[in-house]
Amino acid sequence: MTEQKVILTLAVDVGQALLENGAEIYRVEETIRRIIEAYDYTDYNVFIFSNGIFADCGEASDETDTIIRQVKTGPLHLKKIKELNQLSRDICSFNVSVPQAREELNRCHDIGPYSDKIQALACGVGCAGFIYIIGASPIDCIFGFLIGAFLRDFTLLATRHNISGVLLNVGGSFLITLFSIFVVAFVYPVDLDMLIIGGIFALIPGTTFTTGIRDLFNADYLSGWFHLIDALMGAAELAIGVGIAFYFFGSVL
Amino acid sequence: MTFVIHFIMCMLATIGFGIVFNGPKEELIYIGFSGGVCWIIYLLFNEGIGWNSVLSILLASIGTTIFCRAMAAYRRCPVTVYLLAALFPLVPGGRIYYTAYYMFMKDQYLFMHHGLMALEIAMAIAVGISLGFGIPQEFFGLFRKRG
Repeated sequence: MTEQKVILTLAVDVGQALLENGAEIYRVEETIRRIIEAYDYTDYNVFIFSNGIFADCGEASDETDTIIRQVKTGPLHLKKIKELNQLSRDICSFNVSVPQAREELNRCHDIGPYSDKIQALACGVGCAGFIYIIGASPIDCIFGFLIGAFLRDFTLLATRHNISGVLLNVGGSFLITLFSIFVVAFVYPVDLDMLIIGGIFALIPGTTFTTGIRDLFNADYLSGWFHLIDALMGAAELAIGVGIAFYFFGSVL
Repeated sequence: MTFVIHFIMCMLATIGFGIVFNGPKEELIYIGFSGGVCWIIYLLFNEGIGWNSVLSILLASIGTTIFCRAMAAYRRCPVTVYLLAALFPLVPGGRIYYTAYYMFMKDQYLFMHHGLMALEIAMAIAVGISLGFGIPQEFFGLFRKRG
């Protein structure tokens, strides 16, 4: 491989890793640009899309290198975004050789998520805390914690078995509602609305929405609308799940 | 006193979601703090001064965005890390639930009411973030940690 190609590949790989883990479009674009420029190449073009990267280098010369990538976005991974950002900063301010940068990139890829137990616990605390601030009683919060924790387990299990996002949202909100109706009917008369809202908080596509808005504001209109439609679909799926549960089991109350 | 309890609860909840989004361990406390600040700004305008909730949410999302950007400059960390979890308290989860609930209960009026409120809140957050990002980046250089 020519040096030009090695550097273009490195830059696009870093960009792809960022995009996969939920970074905004402008950050991905800027990172790729900066890395290419850090190695003194100026004749390049980058075009980023919410699920694709197009980049070329050396258009004017005889040897043009072009890379097209289709990118599948996974779950949000803030830790990786931070580390990758640090990597691109290091490349820009210090003389990092390409193999060194590669090694660092591989290290970033290896950063794992938190363990399942911690995630479930954290999700429970998150749900309980948020319904507390919108006016739930402490007992509601205990059940909110249980719902959040179970929901996270369900989500992790579903993702591992490659269940589609639609089914995950509809199924998740259906289970939340079913569980809440069951608790209210047979276990303890808690505030039904609060329980369901607590569970929904964990499924809501709030981060997609925020990223979409930021893309729109950075004039990445296409990707911005993609994210917003994604968020809107997510919200509609949650509503369908809740609705189905009420339709079939609402009479238990 | 309620403000203090709310701040702490919101901070814990935001840290919880920060972990779900795989936030870096050393940033979790700052993520939580941003979430707490977000909710306190909302409470100050909504319950303190008594302005309506959409306006309060708009102001809270502007405030949170600015706060997160300052934090990002200070900690030398992408602003996304803080902002995504910090805005969670404002998300209209309840409204979405009520919209679904009344749709299936065949109550057209309340269905429309909650659905439109959810949209209004979403737009308020959107405009708030945009306004918060309108401030030039140079300004936040002031917060950059020396050395």
